[in-house]
Amino acid sequence: MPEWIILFYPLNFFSAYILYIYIYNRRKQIGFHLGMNIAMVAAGGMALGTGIISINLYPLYFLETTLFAVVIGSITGILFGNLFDYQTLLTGYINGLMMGIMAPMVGAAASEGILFLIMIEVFIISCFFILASSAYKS
Amino acid sequence: MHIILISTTFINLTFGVWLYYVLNKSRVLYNDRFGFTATFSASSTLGLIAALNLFLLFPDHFEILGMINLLLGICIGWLFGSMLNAQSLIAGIYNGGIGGIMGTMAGAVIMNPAICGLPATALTEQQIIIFFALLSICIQGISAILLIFSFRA
Repeated sequence: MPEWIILFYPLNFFSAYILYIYIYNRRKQIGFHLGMNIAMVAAGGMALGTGIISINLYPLYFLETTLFAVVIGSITGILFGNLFDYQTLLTGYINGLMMGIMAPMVGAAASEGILFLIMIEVFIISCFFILASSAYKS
Repeated sequence: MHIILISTTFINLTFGVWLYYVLNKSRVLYNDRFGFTATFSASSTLGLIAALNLFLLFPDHFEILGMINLLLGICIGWLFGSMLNAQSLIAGIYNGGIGGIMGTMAGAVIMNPAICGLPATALTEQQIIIFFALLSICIQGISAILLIFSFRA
């Protein structure tokens, strides 16, 4: 696996930060159904990206990778859910935790090519774009 | 080694029983949405943690233990979901089963990383088991605290 896939970390974090700032300005106009979906998608996407990239960078450290993905997913779910409601926070936290436990296994089972990682990144970034456009319409 | 795992399992089950008692005592306050959310989070984490602990305790019997974990997750979800109505019952059964399967999968990969094609870790088996026992207690405690504080907010 080439070394430049570490560049996917800043891409993920920066796009999540931009999404957070964008939704923070519009959080009064968003209902709780859309808010629950926003928290679930953001937490699951961040946990998935972090786990898959980290297990491909350091294949020897399975425990630390799992812990890192779980912590990142839970904190992202709590931050995005805290914009709306307490139950949204619970939903985002649980979804980030489950995806964080799942993600290093997916990354380890598909550690052959670089194409899969690029497709995962495109999937996560396009999900964030769809979230931003749905927040714009409401 | 077994004494740590057995005590971890009992601590987590005690957390689960306490959570069920607290949620069951004030179930007349629920609306539809809070019933769904509480069932979702409680059955997912309890199924996941119970399956992970049981797999770390008996790592040699995969077939029987997978079936037992699935049935245990479904029973936990049915117990938590039957507090309100049919919607929370469906959510509890489905998410409890998913949590049980996922805990079994996580335990299998932890005990033998060659399943996923990973190289063997530098740590010994005791360190891995202690790490995941402490992590399960932390996850269970944080989830229970978040769920209890939802009555205040």
